Order: sequence, then C-alpha cells, then structure tokens
Amino acid sequence: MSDVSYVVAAYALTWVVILAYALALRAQARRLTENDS
Amino acid sequence: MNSHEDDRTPVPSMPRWLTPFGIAAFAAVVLAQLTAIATSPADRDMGHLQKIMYVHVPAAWSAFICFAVVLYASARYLWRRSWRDDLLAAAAAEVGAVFTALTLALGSIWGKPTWGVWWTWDARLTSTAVLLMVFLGYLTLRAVTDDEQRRARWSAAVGILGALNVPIVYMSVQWWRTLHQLQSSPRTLAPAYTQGLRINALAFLLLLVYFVARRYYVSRAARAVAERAERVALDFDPAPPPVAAVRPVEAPHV
Repeated sequence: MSDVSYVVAAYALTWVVILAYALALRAQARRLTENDS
Repeated sequence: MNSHEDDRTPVPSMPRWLTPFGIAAFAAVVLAQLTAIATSPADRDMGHLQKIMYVHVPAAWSAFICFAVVLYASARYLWRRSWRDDLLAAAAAEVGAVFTALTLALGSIWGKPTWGVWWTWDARLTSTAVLLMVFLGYLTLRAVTDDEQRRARWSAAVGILGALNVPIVYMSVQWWRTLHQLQSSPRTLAPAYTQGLRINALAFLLLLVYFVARRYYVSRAARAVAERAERVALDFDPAPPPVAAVRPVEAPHV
C-alpha cells in the first residue's frame, strides 16, 4: 500500500465514524418523537 | 394541573440552534481538512503520511476535552445531585469514547507504514486503550443499572476516576520513552503544519460541542418519555385496599 492509500483510509474512516454517530443520534431523536406522537 | 394534563406534556425538543450548528460544524471539518491537505507540504521523513495528523491529533484532543467535561459534570453531580449534570457527564463520556476509539484506529493506520505494525504495547497506545476500556465500562454500567440515583452516583465515581487517566495518557510519551513520538502541538511542529492543525482542532471542537449537545438533549427527551410512562403506569395501578377495611383475624377461643 502506498502512503496516499493510508492517508485516504484515515480520512475515510474519520468520516465513516462521525457520520455514523451523527446518524445514530438523529435516529434516536426521531424514535423518541415518533413514540411521543 | 392534574395528572392527565401532565401526560400530554410534550417531550422537550431539540433547541433550534442545534441543527444549523451541526451543519456548520460538519462544513468546518470539510473546509479545515481541505485547507490542511492543500497547504501543507509533504514531510521530510514521513511524506504524505503526516497528513493523518490533522485527524488523529484533533480526535485525541477532542476525547480529552470530553473527559474534562465528564470530570466537571460528575463532580458537580456529586455536589448538587442534579440529573442534568448526570446526563451531561454521560453525553460527554459517550462522545469521548467515540473519539478515543477513532484516535486509536487512526493511530493504527498511521503506525503500520511508519512503525511496521498495526499495534504495539507502547505506553501511549496502551494507556489510551485503558482509557477507552474505562469509559466503555462507564457506558456499560449506565446501561445495566436501572435505579436512576444509584446509576448517577456510581457513574459519577467511575467518570471521575476515568478522567483522571487523561493526564497519564498525555504525559505517557514523556514518562515512558517508548515508540510513540512526543506530543504534537503548534509549539512542537514546523510552522508549515501549525495552521492546518489549529483549524482542524477548532473544527473538531465544534463537532464535539454539537455531538455532546445533541446526545444530552436526546437523553433529556428519553428521560421525559420514561418519566411520563411511569406516571401513566402509576395512574392505572389499582388502589390498594384501605387499611381500615382489612379486618384483623381473631384468635380462636380455646
């Protein structure tokens, strides 16, 4: 693997983690709103 | 107000500023990363691998800030016994655990091409892994303890002990000179890399504020839903018979 591949993997992983966490929080909030209605 | 009106009380909603703030935080991360990648030259020793620093170091700093919030909110909970402090500590602990796991994974990706291994029992790596384990334990403890007061008390104690590990993790590279390099900071970096690190740290700071605030308000809403469900359940509980209606059993005459 070239150096650039490791850099791309690091940035891709960062985005996967932060987007997944943001979506998980959003889904939790939505579930609560649905249960409330 | 009677209990039935209480039952219709809406669950507290997210503050209006939160969604635009979150969008701005994500946009800031994109801009900061693009700027840092575009403006920083390849390092003399590490080449382009140096660019991993712009995600690895801000993720680590964000985790440290989260655990400082855990320390503050946990101590405040033990002092004032407010459930708001407990929920803030829990929100910061969860976000801190996410950033710590990300830090370890990014460090591993950086370690393979520079050290030749994905993982080694270096002091910094090991102490960071211990920190992650402590906060995973904290989250597990919260998940398995039903009683709210007990959960808050115990997790405040674990949160304070866990947060006290942060200085050990930070100083580990100086106390035990193993494989990990010394702390990266604008003071220890070449000027070509300081701006990139600063703006990425700031963007991650915005992101952590968004995550912690969002997690906190989700927990508040969940607590309100649980409280209301409990009230409804109590309303439907059949009333126990009045004490006066229970006739004492007379002793048989001998």
